[in-house]
Amino acid sequence: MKDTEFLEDTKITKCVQCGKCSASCPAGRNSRLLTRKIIMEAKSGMDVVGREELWLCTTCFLCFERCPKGVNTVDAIIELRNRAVMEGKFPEVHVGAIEGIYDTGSGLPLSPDGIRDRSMLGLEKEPEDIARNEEDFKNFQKLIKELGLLEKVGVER
Amino acid sequence: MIGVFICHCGINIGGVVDIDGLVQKVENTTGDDVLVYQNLFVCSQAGQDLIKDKIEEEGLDRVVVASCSPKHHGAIFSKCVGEKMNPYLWEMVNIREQCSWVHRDDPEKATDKAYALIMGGIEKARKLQEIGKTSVPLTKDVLVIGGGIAGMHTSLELADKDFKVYLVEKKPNIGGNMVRLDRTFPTDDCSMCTISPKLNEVTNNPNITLFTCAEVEEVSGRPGEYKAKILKMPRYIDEEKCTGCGTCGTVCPMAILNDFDLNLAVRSAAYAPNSQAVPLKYSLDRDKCIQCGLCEVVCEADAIRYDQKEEVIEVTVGAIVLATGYEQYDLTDTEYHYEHPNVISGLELERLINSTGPTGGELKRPSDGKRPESVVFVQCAGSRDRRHMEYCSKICCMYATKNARLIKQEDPDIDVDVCYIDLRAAGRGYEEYYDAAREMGVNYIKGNVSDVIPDGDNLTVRLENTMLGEIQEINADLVVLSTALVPSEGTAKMTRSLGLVRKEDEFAAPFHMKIAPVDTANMGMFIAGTCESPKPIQECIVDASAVASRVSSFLKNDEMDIDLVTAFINPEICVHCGKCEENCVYGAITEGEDGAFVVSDISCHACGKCAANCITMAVDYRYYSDIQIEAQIDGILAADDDVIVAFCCDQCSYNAADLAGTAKKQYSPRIKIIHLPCSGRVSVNHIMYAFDKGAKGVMVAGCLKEQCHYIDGNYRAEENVEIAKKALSLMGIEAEKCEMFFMSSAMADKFVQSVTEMDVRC
Repeated sequence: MKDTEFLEDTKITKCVQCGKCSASCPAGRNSRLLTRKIIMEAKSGMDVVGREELWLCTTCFLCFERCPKGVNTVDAIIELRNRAVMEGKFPEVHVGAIEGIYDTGSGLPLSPDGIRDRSMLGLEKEPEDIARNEEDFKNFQKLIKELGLLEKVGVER
Repeated sequence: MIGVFICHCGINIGGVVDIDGLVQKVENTTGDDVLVYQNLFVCSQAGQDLIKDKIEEEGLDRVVVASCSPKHHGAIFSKCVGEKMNPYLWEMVNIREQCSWVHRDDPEKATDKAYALIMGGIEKARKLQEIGKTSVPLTKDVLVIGGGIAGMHTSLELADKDFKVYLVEKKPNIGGNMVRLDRTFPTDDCSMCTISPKLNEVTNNPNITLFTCAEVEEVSGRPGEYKAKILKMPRYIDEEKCTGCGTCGTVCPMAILNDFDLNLAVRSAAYAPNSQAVPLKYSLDRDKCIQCGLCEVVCEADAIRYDQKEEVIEVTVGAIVLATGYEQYDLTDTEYHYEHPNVISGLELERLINSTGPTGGELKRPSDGKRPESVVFVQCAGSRDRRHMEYCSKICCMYATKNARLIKQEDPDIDVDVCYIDLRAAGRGYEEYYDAAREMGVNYIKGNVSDVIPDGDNLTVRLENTMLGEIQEINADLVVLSTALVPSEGTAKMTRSLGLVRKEDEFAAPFHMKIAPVDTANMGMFIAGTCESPKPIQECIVDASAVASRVSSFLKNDEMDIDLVTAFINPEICVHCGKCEENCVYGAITEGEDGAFVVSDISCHACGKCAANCITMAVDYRYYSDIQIEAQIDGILAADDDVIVAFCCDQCSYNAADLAGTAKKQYSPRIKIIHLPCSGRVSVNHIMYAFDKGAKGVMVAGCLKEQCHYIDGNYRAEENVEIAKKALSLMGIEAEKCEMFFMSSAMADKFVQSVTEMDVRC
């Protein structure tokens, strides 16, 4: 995405820096994430791609919902994260998550406790997901590979 | 002979459109009967003299001015041409707002478009006819709706000019919201002391007839002679006899929340809103009265009337003034938790610090009567917010500052914080007033409050202090929301029933924001005060004085000239079906003695629905006639073969297009606008005619639904567009090449989206 496109799509030029986003943010309340500041810096053309706090956003969309000027705050953060990944700048902890997604088809693979709980409730052992169908799962893994995501994060498969 | 005057408008048109080339092209493609001139500013005295000289020298009998929007300088040229000939024998072509400004990136195409528009104007001009006048009497009396400060001051000014005024107020007392206030910025005058003399003057002035507990139910007639039905609700107490002693109230056993105190106090069922109410006449709240009869027993004046009925009073007036004011926006069930007793609005705070309020002026919080140790003001609560009201409510920065100062002055130990996004202190003495508030210890925090969090009786206010980049949580005993000001229920109701144009935010729209701020699009109707937009008291007074002046100009003569820009019916073709009568919401069309229908020149509003929907085309217009509209289409399409015709309504989309021009928004030059009085003027024939002549697409743009200036013209247009779509399909043309759009005059973006959509489709 070009910078002009980024400004248009996220509508961050409409931002009046009121801070409703930061103060509404459940994640930012107890962390370094200040959505308003990230938006201001991105709008000013500063390099915010390497910022660790970009990864603290839980994409709950409360800031977007409350923004009085209609700034697509979450879209902006997601785009900045995309750029971060392309530049190889992202927290180490996400490598494991990507490995998990590639290997199991799920960001949160079922734990032994989860399997036990499901059987107690009389549910099938595994829920309906991408990994249940072998062909789908293969396509899914192919997709991830072709996107170059594994190379970007340095995972070998 | 037709004279075409092309304006450079300095570089506004001349900087984009090749004027020399344009002049040459028009000259080359028209006959000897068309003379073309150019001028740097045709609107200047020199430009006007040029028009007048050429009319005389060359014997011009038609004039075409190609310049800015007719909304901008139309009146100037109309007057100029009118000095030499009938003022309807000229046509204005808009090559600034709707050409050079919106196609500035493509000068060549802009020049081509200007040429096509001018050719349309020339062909239309050939078909223009002289339009005569008729005179109608003017009634000198005036109806003022709303007895707040704006309506009162308007009434007093008019009464002073010797007009008879009927002042109608819905509540039992006059004074509006201003009588609720404690003090007023930036002078800290006691509000009641300022308004009190006016309240009494209104009730005593022999030229003012005041109706309280009354509403205007219906208005009919025409400018200069409106008939209004006033519905006066019973007080169940004889107004003439009641002395205002209040004994009825003291014996009444009922306790009801008092609306005057914004439900922060109770009153009896026999009540006056407060002790200083004017007129000081009691009312019985019959919804709550148990008819115990105690009041009847104690009333020495014998004024109680359980059987009083509502009354309908009919008045005839020449002009109507709307001054129905604002109300507070309700923030219940939002992140501000207005439903919590200790989260109050600015207006409620006024009652809590007012010596005539429920606490006698002592600041106490509603839940437990505790004196708050910390008060937090939340600015822009519901204002400047796309989820609520997009506009700035204008007065909140200053009234919050005022109340913050009053609290600090009373008790410097109370912590007072004002949380704001931008502090707007524009006005004489305002900045100094704000400076002094900081000196008094009012703590201003820059940041938009995200949450007011209730914890029992107490509250926590959360925001980011954006100067520090830190999230702060402030403990507050009392939270005051500076809630948005929205049009009052009366404003919403009356703008609809008077057929006034409303802005997107539902406030009444002035005829022109800058140069006609208290006039409306309806002749003889005016607006004053906060029914137009949020504004401080002094601006309401300015409005009221301006309205009084405008009304007196409007009613200065005994008679008023009306141009006969009206519909007429050809009795030879009329088949007596009565569809035109049905379509006319003004009752201007009636059945004549021989069965043919006739139009009243006085009642006709010239919207065009009757003509557009006449099955035999017996109804037509003197101005914007079928033949003129078709000639304009001919002219444009003969000059350009790649055209999307946009029929635009004078009340909405035409202005939206002008606004897009002012904002220099760019769109396709294929769009060629045809100006009409109302989208309802568009007939199926007009649409099909445009396609027949080679238009690539046709769009009709009318007012927002429920907001047609002529009540339902946009719906008629929508129906006609639907019929045209079917006809097009039958002819093998895609129906999507014809479309109806709805927008207000403020929606420049919507206009650009709509024309862009058509550009893609066609």
